[in-house]
Amino acid sequence: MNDAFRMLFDQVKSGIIWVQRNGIVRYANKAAVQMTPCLLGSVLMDPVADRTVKAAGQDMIKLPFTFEMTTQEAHPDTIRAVVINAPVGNDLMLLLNNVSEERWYSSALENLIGYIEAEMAHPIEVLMNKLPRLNAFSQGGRQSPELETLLSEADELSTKLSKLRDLVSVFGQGAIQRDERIVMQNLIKEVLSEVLPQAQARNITISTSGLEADLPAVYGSHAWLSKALSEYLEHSIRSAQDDGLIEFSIVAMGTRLLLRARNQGLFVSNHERRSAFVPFGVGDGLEQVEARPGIGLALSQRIIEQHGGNVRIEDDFDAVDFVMEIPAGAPATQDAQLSVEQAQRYAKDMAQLMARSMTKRAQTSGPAPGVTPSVTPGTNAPTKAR
Amino acid sequence: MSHRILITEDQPDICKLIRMTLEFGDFEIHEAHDGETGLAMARAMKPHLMLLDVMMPGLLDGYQVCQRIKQDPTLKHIKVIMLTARGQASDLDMGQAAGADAYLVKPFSPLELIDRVESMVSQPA
Repeated sequence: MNDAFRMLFDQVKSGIIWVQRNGIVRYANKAAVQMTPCLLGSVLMDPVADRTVKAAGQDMIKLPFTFEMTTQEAHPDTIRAVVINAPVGNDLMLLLNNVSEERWYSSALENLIGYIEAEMAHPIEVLMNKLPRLNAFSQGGRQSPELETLLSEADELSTKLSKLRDLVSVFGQGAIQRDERIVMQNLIKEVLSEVLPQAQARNITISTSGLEADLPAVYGSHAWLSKALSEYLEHSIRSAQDDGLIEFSIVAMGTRLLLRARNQGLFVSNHERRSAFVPFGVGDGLEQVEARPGIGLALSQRIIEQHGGNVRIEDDFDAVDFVMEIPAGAPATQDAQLSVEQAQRYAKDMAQLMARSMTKRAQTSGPAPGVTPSVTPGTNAPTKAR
Repeated sequence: MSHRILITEDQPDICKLIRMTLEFGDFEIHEAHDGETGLAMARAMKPHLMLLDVMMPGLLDGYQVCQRIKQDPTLKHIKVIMLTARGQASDLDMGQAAGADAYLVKPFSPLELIDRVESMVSQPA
């Protein structure tokens, strides 16, 4: 094998083993040696890998061929292996990937989601409900600055925890009901009044357009769409400059509603654009000094995606637009099928419909539909639809 | 005289079922699969009765189509039966507010559907 191939394969994270058709190893990169023991000039030591490669060499299996093997350890990892033809010559290659690591991370994430749902969602809810009461109670007596700070910090923490709980909830399928009729003008007005104090605190002006137009209704979850809209607007406000202007507009375009929050005089880097949609600010670096963007836009995006829409950031010459697209009307379902109940009702009524039709036709001496396919002159045959 | 019926329903299976049911009667059946097309067809062909699904994708849902039909002096004579899986009182109220003449909740009985259609088209406008 030439040096260029060797250098290329040594850079690859996956394990790569180049073998002759008789199973003799010609080359193995560093990653491969870490996953399975192999010696140049010998057959593969893993019996499963050896048998599979030899079977491929004798054209007994169709390539590419995928199989699983394990590492030779006390607690073995699972390796997903693929046998393919080598890029040159008549040899074979074995590509190895450790799937245990990836499974470990995905199961850890699933466990975390499950833990938050099962163990934390309720306490977070309870805490959120009790904090305002505690605040009111403390204001009744003499309030110390320490208590005031503590309450404010607890309130901030509970807001963040509730967003985390929401994010976990929307990752579960079926979390969002999709049949409430939502009049978007009303929903937007409600949410705008909630987020307006945040804008006012920084002297940011929000102008609106399109709210008086006759807009289509949206079907989905009112509670979740309200959260999505609120997070989206809060993110737009957080991103705006002090004393700035956010031009909010809503229009119906084609079969979608387009919401746009335009921040004048703002620039968003590609890094910010990417990281805005990643929950917990992953990839921002440990030493970052600015506050992480939070999970707001990620939460908003997830909710809107579950309603068949999307959230994105677009930039113009001198402005940045936070854009939200939502399907107008009910979400189109490709797999919409007749419900079992409806089919049962039809089956139940079918005999009666036939009997009734035959009686009527008998009176006019014509056949019933479904009994005979021909149309007798004198009867009114149903016209085919367009 | 055969009455013109316009089915406006986005789900093909439900649409087919309604058509199969109405074919037991003496009707001229037409179909539309979204609110905008339904409204345009209603304007063009002036059906005697419309079977109108509430939840449809697109710019007009069933309530909005019904409202526009009932507000148009040239169309308001069209009888409208709303079809929906949402059978709560508030939904029925919305249908009534939009001007619907009747409301059928899915899963509906085909017998009830054809009875309702026949009785409504035989009523004077």
